[in-house]
Amino acid sequence: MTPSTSKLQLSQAHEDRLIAGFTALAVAIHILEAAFPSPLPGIKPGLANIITLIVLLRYGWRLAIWVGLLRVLVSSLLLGTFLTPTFILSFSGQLASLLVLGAAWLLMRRALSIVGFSMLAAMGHIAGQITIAWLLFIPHPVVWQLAPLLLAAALGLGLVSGIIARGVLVRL
Amino acid sequence: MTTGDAIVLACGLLLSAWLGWQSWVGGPGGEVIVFVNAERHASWPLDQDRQIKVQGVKGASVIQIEGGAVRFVSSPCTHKLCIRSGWLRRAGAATACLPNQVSLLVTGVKSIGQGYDAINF
Repeated sequence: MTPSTSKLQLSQAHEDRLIAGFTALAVAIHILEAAFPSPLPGIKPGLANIITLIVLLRYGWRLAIWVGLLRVLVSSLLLGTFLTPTFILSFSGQLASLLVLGAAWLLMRRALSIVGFSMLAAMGHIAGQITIAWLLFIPHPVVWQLAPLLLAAALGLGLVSGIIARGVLVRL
Repeated sequence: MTTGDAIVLACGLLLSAWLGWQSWVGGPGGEVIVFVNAERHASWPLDQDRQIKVQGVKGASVIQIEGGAVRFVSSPCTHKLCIRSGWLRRAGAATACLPNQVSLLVTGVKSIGQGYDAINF
């Protein structure tokens, strides 16, 4: 594991440190946010995603996946929801969100700013959660009646997170 | 905010509006489907008044169809939220007695085969 001489390549150890540091930050934000009550079940501001987005824009999709999935895993261990339905929803939402981000990163990187990525990530997140909830927990068509409300809320909160993320990114 | 961002926002809003239209703007109800334990148990048309007893996990829930609408009349639950949700009239409307695992879903009028007694060509 010798350090790379190229500016674009990160050594394994350096990459691990980045992932660990950003994940810790994201976990801290997630835990803090979990202390606040939410108006509707299943709707959170999702501020920890700001970290995932910043990692995506500065270090690429691979590191963003590590940070995103590790954050969900570690937070669930700390909050005591590991392997509960909450965790299954959270993890599948995050997975869907990261896949959408990956597709956007590949196809639309030049057209979007971090705000656009944030909105897409939020919508991917809620879409993944609704689908898993319908497949595993509530296989009743009424779940789809909630979809427009949750999607609109995700879009709005994704916009807010994106604006905050942009504010952080310009100061880094 | 780039043009791409604005397009994402617009598409997101359109998608929410379209999903809202699909699920919430239903038209008149034609039939009620009774689910017991998340499985289709029976379906009844809404044009004939009747009272039906449905056996759930906690006991029997009584549902009433009258005047093109359906509601829970009695149920062996503690909070009676199913009864308090009132009449279901439009297509897509739903309610449930969760302790008893009985739920109702109203579907729309099918234009061919259900809205007419007979069709001659």
